[in-house]
Amino acid sequence: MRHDVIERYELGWMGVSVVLVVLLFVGVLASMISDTLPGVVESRTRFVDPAHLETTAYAKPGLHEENGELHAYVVARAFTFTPSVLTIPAGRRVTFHFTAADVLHGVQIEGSNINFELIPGHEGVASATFRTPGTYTSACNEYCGAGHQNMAFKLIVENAK
Amino acid sequence: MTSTPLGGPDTTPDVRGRGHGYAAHPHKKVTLYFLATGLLALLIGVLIGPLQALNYAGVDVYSHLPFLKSYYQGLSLHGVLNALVFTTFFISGLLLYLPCRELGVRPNLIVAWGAYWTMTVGTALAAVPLLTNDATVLYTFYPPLMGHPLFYIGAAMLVAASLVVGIQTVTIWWGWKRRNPGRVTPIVTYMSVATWMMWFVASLGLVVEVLVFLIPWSLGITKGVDPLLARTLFWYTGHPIVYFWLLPAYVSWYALVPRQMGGRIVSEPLARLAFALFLLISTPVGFHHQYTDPGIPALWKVVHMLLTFLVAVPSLLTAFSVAASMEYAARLRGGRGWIRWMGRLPWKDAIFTGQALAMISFIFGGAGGIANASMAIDAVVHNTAWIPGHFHITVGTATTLTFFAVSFWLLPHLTGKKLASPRVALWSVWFWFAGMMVFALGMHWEGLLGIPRRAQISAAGPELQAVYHKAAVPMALTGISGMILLVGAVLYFGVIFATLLGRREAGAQEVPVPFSEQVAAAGKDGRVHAMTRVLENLWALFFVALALVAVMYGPELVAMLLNQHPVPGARLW
Ligand code: HEM
Ligand SMILES: [Cu+2]
Ligand SMILES: [Cu+2]
Repeated sequence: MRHDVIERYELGWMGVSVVLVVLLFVGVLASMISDTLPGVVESRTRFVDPAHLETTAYAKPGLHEENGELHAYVVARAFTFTPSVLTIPAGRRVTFHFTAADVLHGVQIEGSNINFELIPGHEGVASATFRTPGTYTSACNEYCGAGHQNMAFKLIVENAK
Repeated sequence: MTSTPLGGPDTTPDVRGRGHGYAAHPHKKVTLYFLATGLLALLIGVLIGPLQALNYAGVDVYSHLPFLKSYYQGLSLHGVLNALVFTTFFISGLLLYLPCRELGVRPNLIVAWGAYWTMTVGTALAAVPLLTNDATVLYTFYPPLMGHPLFYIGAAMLVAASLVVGIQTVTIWWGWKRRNPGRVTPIVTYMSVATWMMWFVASLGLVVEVLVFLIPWSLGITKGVDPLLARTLFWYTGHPIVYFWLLPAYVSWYALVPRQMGGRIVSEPLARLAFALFLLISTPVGFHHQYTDPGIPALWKVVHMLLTFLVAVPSLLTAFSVAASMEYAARLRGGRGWIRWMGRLPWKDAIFTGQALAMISFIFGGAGGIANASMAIDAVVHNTAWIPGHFHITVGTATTLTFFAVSFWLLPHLTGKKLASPRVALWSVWFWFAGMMVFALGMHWEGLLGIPRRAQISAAGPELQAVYHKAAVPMALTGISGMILLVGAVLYFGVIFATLLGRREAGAQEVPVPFSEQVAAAGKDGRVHAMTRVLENLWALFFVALALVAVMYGPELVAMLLNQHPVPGARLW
């Protein structure tokens, strides 16, 4: 093996790696734009005062219809989600709004690609349509203290009556 | 010849037989202290690991443990001792000692011992609240959860001491450069200095987070901390810190392993290029840990995603080079064929085998890292068991198993004592490798099924237990892997203690530092590769790295600093 030959191959390999990596990047972007990743565009940087949630849309957690659109507001607080059970209709687009009131929490909604790090002062916002009726149970997925392992959030998707 | 023809390696052997045996190289002792203290931290951290593996198998042993108040206290100890304390000590010892030997320079021992004791006292201070359950904040210590001030102060001392060692190494290199104008920095020193410079850029986030925000806040001087700002500063350091753990292993793979298997470095200039690239782009990628954080504009996340993909390139270069130098060595040993040459490598030697297995684990770990870099995949795996699955085959194996293998020659080299049992050493690396592969399989799989990480799932209520039941098979794998790893750890630490407590051999030959030669004897005719010439300007690379960080982090960090929303601390454990 001659070192200049090895070096030439290695430079070629580097070229191939760069191309592959850029292709991957483009692939991921394409996937995100095609709506596999809810929340990317919706996430805003609006401040939600965790000490005064009563002055915000989180004053009444739960599902609300606003101008014909469904919005769900959920507050995470050690060691419960409010509401801890949320019922939504199947087949309708729902915009989820999550925030944390005390320390960090997290939620990944089973059956969707919604995964929020919940940070006091910020809200995770994402829209999704659940088509299959059923119960989707998720646990808090960011360490928040002694009761972390029992902090659950249940989403019930029902056929419209 | 023991090194590249360009260096001036220090080959004076230490004569054994009388006294402490550090006569020719008094810096051996401080190096030994760094390594041994790091390994001691690892021992404690690792012994908690199997309990966590049992938790992920649905078995709760925590209600019966007298010495841990909770799962989360154990997990805080495990993360801090393994990922922060062990790595920092071991790397500080290694990346100070190797350049000193390669350049034939003695470090200032007062500075080196000062750094050692600062680091040790810092660790001890941080250990107090960890052990009393007053800093059960995990190794990421995200506010608003608030630990005892000693925890943050101790952590700051640990990092500060590592920076002192880094500055010392860079200073030694710079002195050598000035005494040897026009000469090219030998490879190990080049890599070490690039790693330390990367760490200077990278550690800024953590230093600011701890010194400016967390310490005053935990002492009650300030009322609150902005949790998003703190997270951002943490991950500014939190990503590149993984390169701080990985690059010392690369130093060994590139520059020491070739000689340990009877070969040479096949392409030195590209090895330098890989390290230069790490210096440049290790840091401005940290938002990939915050893809799911609200409050950071999607555009910045996408930019960091692109850079994260690009930082895979130097690792892919390393994979090529290291594989090529393995093949080169195997063919020198009479290896033939496309695949069969692999059999000619010194598989009976734990020093080689440990590192070869570490490399294999990193093929999977690195591939997983590229997958995690994608924002779309991250939405599926963020905060699930997938993530610990990933980093136990990167830092937990690629780095840790390499350090195990390094300790098999370096501890005998430093102490003049023989490795207690090469056979047990070989078994220990196989057990560790097998255990971690099973662990990774189980945890990645659980992650895809939505099992959260950092959760005492074995103590969850019946409703969640019913949900977790779908992961029964991978959970069993995690439990089994914990037992395999426990055996591996007992074997490894058994060999290490037997070696360190063994008797010094009178008149024994010193185990040499395995600096490798390169295939291309560059410089023989006075010519140096053009790339090597350019890359020699490490200071220039360092400033470009700082500038890149300023561009990629500056706008968001400034906006967050100017618009802080502090939240009071809480203790919820
Ligand atoms: C006997 C070997 C080991 C076993 C069985 C083991 C097991 C585990 C398990 C099951 C977890 C997940 C806990 C959770 O998410 O709740 C974990 C977390 C972790 N492990 Fe290990 N581990 C071992 C060795 C190591 C080593 C060698 C390192 C690093 C050098 C390491 C670093 C970590 C870190 C940083 C975490 C994350 C802690 C956190 O999420 O706060 N582990 N380990
Ligand atoms: Cu939680
Ligand atoms: Cu990272």
